[in-house]
Amino acid sequence: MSVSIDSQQCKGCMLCVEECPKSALTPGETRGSRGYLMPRANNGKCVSCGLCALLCPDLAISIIKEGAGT
Amino acid sequence: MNPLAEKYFRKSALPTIFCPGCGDGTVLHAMLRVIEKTGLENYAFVSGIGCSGWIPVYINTDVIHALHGRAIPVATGLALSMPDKKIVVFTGDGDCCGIGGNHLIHAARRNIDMTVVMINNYIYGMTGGQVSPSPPAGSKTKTSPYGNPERPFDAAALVQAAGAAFVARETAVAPLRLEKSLSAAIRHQGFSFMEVITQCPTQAGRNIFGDGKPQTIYHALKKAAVSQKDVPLESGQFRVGILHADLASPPYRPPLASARPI
Ligand SMILES: Cc1ncc(C[n+]2csc(CCOP(=O)(O)OP(=O)(O)O)c2C)c(N)n1
Ligand code: SF4
Ligand code: SF4
Ligand SMILES: [Mg+2]
Repeated sequence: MSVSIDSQQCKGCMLCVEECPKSALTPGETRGSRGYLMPRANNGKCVSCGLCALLCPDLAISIIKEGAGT
Repeated sequence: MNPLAEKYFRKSALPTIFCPGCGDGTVLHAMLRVIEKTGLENYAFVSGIGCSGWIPVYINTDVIHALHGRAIPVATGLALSMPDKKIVVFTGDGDCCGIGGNHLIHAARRNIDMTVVMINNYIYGMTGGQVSPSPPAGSKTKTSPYGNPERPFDAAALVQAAGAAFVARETAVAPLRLEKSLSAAIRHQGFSFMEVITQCPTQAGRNIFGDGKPQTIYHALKKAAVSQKDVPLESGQFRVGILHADLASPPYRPPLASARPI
C-alpha cells in the first residue's frame, strides 16, 4: 500500500501532511518540476485511506493498493 | 496524476491558475468524483469571472466561462434550451452575491433547473483581496483596512427566502462531505444552491486570517463547521450539510408553443 505524488502537478501546499491520520506524509526536501518543495511519503506508515488524495487541490496524489494498480 | 484527473482533465490548460493550497482545486476534484458516477455527457458547465470561475474550465467538456456576475443568466438560457443537460454553475462570492446577486435571487425564485456552486472564500481573490459581500464583520481586507463595518450576506438563507428548493453548505476541507452534498444538489430537479466555504490562502489568508498558510484556514474552517442540526452555533461557527430540501417544488418549465397568446 502506498501513496504516489506526481512531481509535475504538486504545488507543495502540504495540506496532505495536515490531513494524513497516520503521519505518513512529512514536508520533504525534493523539488517537483514546478519548483515547489514536495511532501515525502513514508509508505511503511500509509494505510491507503485516500484522505490525502481527496483533499489535494492539484489532484497530484494517487493511491496504490497492493496488486490492484491505482 | 490522480486517475480522475487523467481521465477528465483538459490537459492543455494545465497547470491550474490556483495558488498552492487553494480550495478551488478540491472542489474541482469533488466535481470529478460526482461526474465519474453520473456520466460526463450529461453535463454542461457555466462559470463567472474570478479564480473560482476557472474550476470547470479544466474539465474536458462544454463550458461557458461567462462575464463577471452573469454566469446565472447564461446558465438560464442554457437550461431552457438544453433541458436534457444538467447545468452546473461555478461562481465566486463576489460574482454571485456582489455584481450578480440580482440574478441569483431571481433564478431561485423562478426555480430554474440548475445547480449553483458558490465558492465562498470571503474575498475577491482574483483581483487582489478586496472586500466582498461575505466576509465576517470586522474582517480586514485590502479595501477594508480598518475592519469591514458591514454585515455579511448569508447566501444560503438569501436563496432559501427567494424560493430555492435545495440549499446546502459545505467546506473544501471536508472533501467527502462536499462530494455527498454536491451529488445531492446535482440530483435535485430545479434550482439547487451549494455554498462551499474554501480556503484562499493568498488573499483571505494574508488579509483576514492573519497569514498566507493554507493550513491556518484549513484548521479554522474545520473548527467552525458544525454538522449537527440541533447544536446552537457559537460566534464564528456555521452550519454545514443540507440546510433545506423541498422535493415537491415544481421546476420552471417554459410555456408550451401551443399556449402562446398569439
Ligand atoms: C464587469 C466586471 N467588473 C469587475 C471585474 C473585475 N473582477 C474580476 S474577478 C472579480 C471578483 C472576484 O471575486 P469572486 O467573485 O469572489 O471570485 P474569487 O476570485 O474570489 O474566486 C472582479 C471584481 C470584471 N472582470 N468585470
Ligand atoms: S493514503 Fe491515508 S495514510 Fe496514506 S498518506 Fe494518504 S492520508 Fe496518509
Ligand atoms: S487568489 Fe485565492 S482564490 Fe485565487 S487562486 Fe489564489 S488562493 Fe485561490
Ligand atoms: Mg471570492
